[in-house]
Amino acid sequence: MDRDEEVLTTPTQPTPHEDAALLARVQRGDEQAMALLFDRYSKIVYSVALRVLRDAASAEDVLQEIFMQIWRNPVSFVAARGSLGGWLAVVTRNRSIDALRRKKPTEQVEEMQLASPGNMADEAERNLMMEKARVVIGQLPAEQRKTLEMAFFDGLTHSEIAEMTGDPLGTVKTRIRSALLTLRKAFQA
Amino acid sequence: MNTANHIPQDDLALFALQFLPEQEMADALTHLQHCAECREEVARYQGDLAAYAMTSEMHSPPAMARERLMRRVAKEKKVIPMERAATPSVEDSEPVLAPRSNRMFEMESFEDAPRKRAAGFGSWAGWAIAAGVSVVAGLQFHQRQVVQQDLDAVSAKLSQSSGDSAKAQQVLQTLTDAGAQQLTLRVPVPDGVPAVHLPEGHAAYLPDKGSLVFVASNLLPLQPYKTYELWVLPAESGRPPVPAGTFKPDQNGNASVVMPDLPKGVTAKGFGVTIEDDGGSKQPTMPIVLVGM
Repeated sequence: MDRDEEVLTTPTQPTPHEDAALLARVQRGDEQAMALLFDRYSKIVYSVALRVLRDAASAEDVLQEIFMQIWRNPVSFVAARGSLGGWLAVVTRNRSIDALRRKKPTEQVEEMQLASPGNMADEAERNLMMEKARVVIGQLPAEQRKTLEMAFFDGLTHSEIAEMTGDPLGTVKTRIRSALLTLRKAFQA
Repeated sequence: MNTANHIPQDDLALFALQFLPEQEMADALTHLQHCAECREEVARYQGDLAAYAMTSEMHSPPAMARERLMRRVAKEKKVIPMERAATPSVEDSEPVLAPRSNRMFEMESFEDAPRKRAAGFGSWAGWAIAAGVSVVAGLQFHQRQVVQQDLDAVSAKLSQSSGDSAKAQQVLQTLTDAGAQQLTLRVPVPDGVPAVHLPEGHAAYLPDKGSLVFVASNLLPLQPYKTYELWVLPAESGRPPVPAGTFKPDQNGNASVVMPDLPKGVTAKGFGVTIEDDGGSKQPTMPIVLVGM
């Protein structure tokens, strides 16, 4: 094959099914499958951790621990919580907040199902999702956008946000939910 | 559980964010065990949060992060569990231990009642011996387990230390071995042009071991989502370049690739560095920004 042609060829797009197949290989101790999962999702995991922790070394610690969790116990995900990429993004945020607050990981919520917003195993679709999510969030009312950011990325609880902003607790809760519902509607459209 | 009293929508979002206070979290978990409707809604909120997480600015992890992970993965090889029969479980040993305790108690009563001693000495003696044997067996089993655990821990540490030591030895050998190919990679410039502060790389390579240590300095910063990639240029005619790891310079323009995953026995006629998209490429994308032949 001509070299230039090979460089320009679009690689076969992975699917969530391939994620399941890779997890099954990880379960059998296949290190190559682990490397493929890392190549596919390390950027999401690292970026979310870095956004929360704002420290490269701490973000890599979270990255390492999350992928080692997959290596040690891939079965914990095989219950098919919807999307490995989505689950990793949420778990990364939770672990990073736990690291910020120096508290033990709380795994009950992570054991719940996750309705995937899209095929996050597919890089092209993932990039589209990123763009779409950024556009939707950019169009949110400023208070909603800020409240969701404080809750998700800064790990401030609704009570802490209410205290900091002086807004009523109920308003803070409603802003968080409304922002998430707007995002959901945009992805369902 | 009354599934009619669903968790309020606001609280479901807070549950997904892990913000509910401890007691409310416990109540919510109990409710969710029985309420498919609320579980589905939590799943939707989790999906919303996953989508929101994607608004983070994307950054590639440090170039060495993958290697560090794969080293840890290699150290924690999956093992086939020992057969259950090989090691008696607590359940297996319990029937022996339980009667033993009862019998011990009865022995103490027996010692306090000399009148009965003569009459039942023969039968009690048998029980006492059996109980004694059980105690000794139990203690020996326990001690064996403790020793086995200690041995396993020491073996694991020894194995890890040996692995680290072997790796360090290999790095040292790659850097110092007289047979190692040592090459300096520079920006190709016409003769006579001074190369002060230009990017530069140095590769030390042992082909038969597939060991490579590469150090670069004065590297130019990369655009977002781009990475440098090192290539072994095989001496064998027609053989394509072999990817030897991606790397990004630090703020001073320095970077390194230490012991990338390379096949053994590839004799190199040189090394090259290209700029690729994050994650690296299977084929070098022109131009070659550093080359050493």
